Amino acid sequence: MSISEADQEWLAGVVADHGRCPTRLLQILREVQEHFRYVPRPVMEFLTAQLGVPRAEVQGVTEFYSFLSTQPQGDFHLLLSDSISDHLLGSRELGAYLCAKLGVEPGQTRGDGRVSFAYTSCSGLCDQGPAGLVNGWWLPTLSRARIDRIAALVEAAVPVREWPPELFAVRDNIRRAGLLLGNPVTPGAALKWSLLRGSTAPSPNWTSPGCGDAAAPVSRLPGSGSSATKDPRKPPSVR
Amino acid sequence: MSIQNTISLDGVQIPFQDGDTIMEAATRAGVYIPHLCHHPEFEPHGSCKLCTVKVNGRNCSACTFPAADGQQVLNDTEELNGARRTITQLLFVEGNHFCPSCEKSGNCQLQAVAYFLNMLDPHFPLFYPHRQPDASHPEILLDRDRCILCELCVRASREVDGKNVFGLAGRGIDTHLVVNSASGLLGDSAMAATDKAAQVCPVGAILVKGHGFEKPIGERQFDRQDVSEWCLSWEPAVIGDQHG
Amino acid sequence: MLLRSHAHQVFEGMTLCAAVVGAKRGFLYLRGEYLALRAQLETVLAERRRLNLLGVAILGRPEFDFDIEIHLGAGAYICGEESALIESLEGKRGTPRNRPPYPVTHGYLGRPTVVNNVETFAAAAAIGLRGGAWFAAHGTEKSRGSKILSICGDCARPGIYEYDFGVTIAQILQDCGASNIFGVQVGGPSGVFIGEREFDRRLAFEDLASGGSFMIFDKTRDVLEIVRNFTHFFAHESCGFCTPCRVGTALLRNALDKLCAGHAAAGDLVEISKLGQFIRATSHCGLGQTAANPILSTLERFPEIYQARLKSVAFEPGFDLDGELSTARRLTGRDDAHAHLQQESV
Repeated sequence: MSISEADQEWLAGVVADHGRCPTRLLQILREVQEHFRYVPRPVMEFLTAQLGVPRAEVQGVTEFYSFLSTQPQGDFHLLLSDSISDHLLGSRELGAYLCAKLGVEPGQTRGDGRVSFAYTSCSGLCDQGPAGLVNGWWLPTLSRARIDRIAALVEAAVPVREWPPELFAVRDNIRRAGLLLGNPVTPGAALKWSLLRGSTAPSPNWTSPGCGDAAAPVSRLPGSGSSATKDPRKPPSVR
Repeated sequence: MSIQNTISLDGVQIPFQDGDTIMEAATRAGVYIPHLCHHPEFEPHGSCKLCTVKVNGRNCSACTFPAADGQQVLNDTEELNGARRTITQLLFVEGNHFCPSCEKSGNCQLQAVAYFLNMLDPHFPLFYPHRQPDASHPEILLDRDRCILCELCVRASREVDGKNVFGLAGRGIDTHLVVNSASGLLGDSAMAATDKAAQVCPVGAILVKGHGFEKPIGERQFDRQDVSEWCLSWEPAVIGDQHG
Repeated sequence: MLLRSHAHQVFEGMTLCAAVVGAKRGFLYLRGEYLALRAQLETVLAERRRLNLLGVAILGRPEFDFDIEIHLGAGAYICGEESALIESLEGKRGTPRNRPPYPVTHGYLGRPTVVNNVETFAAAAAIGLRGGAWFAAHGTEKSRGSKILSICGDCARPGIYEYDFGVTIAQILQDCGASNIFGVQVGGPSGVFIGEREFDRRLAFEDLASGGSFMIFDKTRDVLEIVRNFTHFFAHESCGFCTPCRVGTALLRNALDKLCAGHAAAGDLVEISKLGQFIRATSHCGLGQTAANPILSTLERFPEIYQARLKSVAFEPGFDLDGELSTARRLTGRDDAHAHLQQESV
């Protein structure tokens, strides 16, 4: 597989938007994942050339994070939280129901590429379970009824941004406000007051950081190394 | 009287230099602390955990922990050696380590450390992972069955060879070595048999082809020398005789 | 929740911190699951820049430049550990660093870096406005102020509850409408599982600490399933850097699966306990050090639950004999009685 010209242009744009910073690799890969539904090998090559990060490291980062994949996910990637609080609310039964309805297995992408499903460690919505995610967007308080609606939307290929907003409605659910929640700070109030009272003047010793300011930017492509070369992204040794 | 920086290592006062890690101070004093991912030519790594010592009552990795005046360090205790034995067992069950048929046998640091720690059996259930070997390179064999994820090859290729041939990918028990080439194969990478990365592997995961079983049992590296003696007498010019 | 409705306050706390330590750059590490919050957070940041509370010359002070970037995670629990978080901010795999040095001296790109959770920064803003004495008047001697809890599980009113430190577990359980309670997991998977006998304990660093997670389980629940869920979680989330956690959490998961399936004997339980303690003692970071907590804390308090699941025979295969023949049956196309093995069940 090679990248189309249009995709190459898009990729170059993404990389440029991120200032060609190697520290933005994960952010760039997230956008790649969203666009291609996975991180194709040729894209890894491209990023290596653009960012100076060795290909093995691009692959290393891709395979480390659960939300990135080296195999295509569906146009609709559905995740269901596998946390114990969701378990207790029947997440596994809902998952089985969803899989049966859509004809997909956990950890798999359906043959037509339309949908993929997997369990995820946690959704971040413990008090509004059983919860899931579709293409990264929260799906709180799932039920069979909601699964039916979601399955219908998937089969009709309705883009997620056009799904009914009530499927995504997350509540704040504050039951008991205490010291902090009960005494919010008006934007700016704390800063103004503290600076007025005279807290420490900030030290201007660091140069303003753009990308590549950390030590000297060192390309880690072949041929550039010497034993004195240090990865500027590694912390200094304990020496 | 000059002010001396010393740490207490198993009750013995040993001096150290500014910037030393506990491992360096111990090595200078001729005290062996078992290790696998540590190598004096590279930045301390701290992943294998074999060099775990007790510093003022707390477990630390000797290879990365800075020595400080007055530290009470325990190294050669039953508890710590027991923990090291367990770590060695974990390494054995994680991969596919068949010593009897391995070209590195007798010259292998994993095996030598296991002997040193009196490891008699793997103890834990074996994982029997499916790992991808790679014989595509004309001169180098990459046998991932034996890889202990010490990242010495990664560091050597990056810091010495300047080629970045290796990296680690995946997470948790699925972590595995990957090769920096479009195909992912070693044969398509920039690696050469003369690379530091081809010499530095402590086990039989990276081997130069065309060699094997050259020394009879009894005359191999660790038949002649205990791993502790070998580590303590290590000099930059002598880079582990990997052909045996 | 804090990021949803108190984002200004979180950013204000970060800016205050920047003023104190002289930082020019701040990051909000937004875990991947919170993607839905990003747009509104960017809006809040934009508004703060407009109000001159962020960016160049904040509040008219020429020497006070500070801005905040949002970095998204991508599904890795370990990136909650401060040095792994920094690695992730640098675009790398989230493996925790060797410490010392600590991030306060060598952090992001090797520079002094302050890392705190959003609640701490929100509290910093409140303290900045109302003073330390106001905050310290609440809580306990060693745990000043308050803690926001996310309560879920078997209770009538799950949700967000904020308490002064020092509140008893019993009080919390009463407030959220929990009944017929078996136990509570305080502090998430890395925390402690406590039973009835400990409900008079207090939420505080010196007693029961929690990052905010509070899960309630009633007496209908299978405790071993809860422990198994957490144990699987740790094996899945282990970064893989250090031997004890990488291999140990996988072994622990397999051993617990075997026990839950009813194939373990007394010796297996001893092994699980020893392995758990070993991982706790030798791991590189907090994930490994707490990975065995679910097992160890429940085994300590409710050993009978584990005992009840053990086989009574002294020796038995640690695997499903008939299951292991499935490959051979498939290859030979056989499913007759002689192609199966009976395994003694208790």
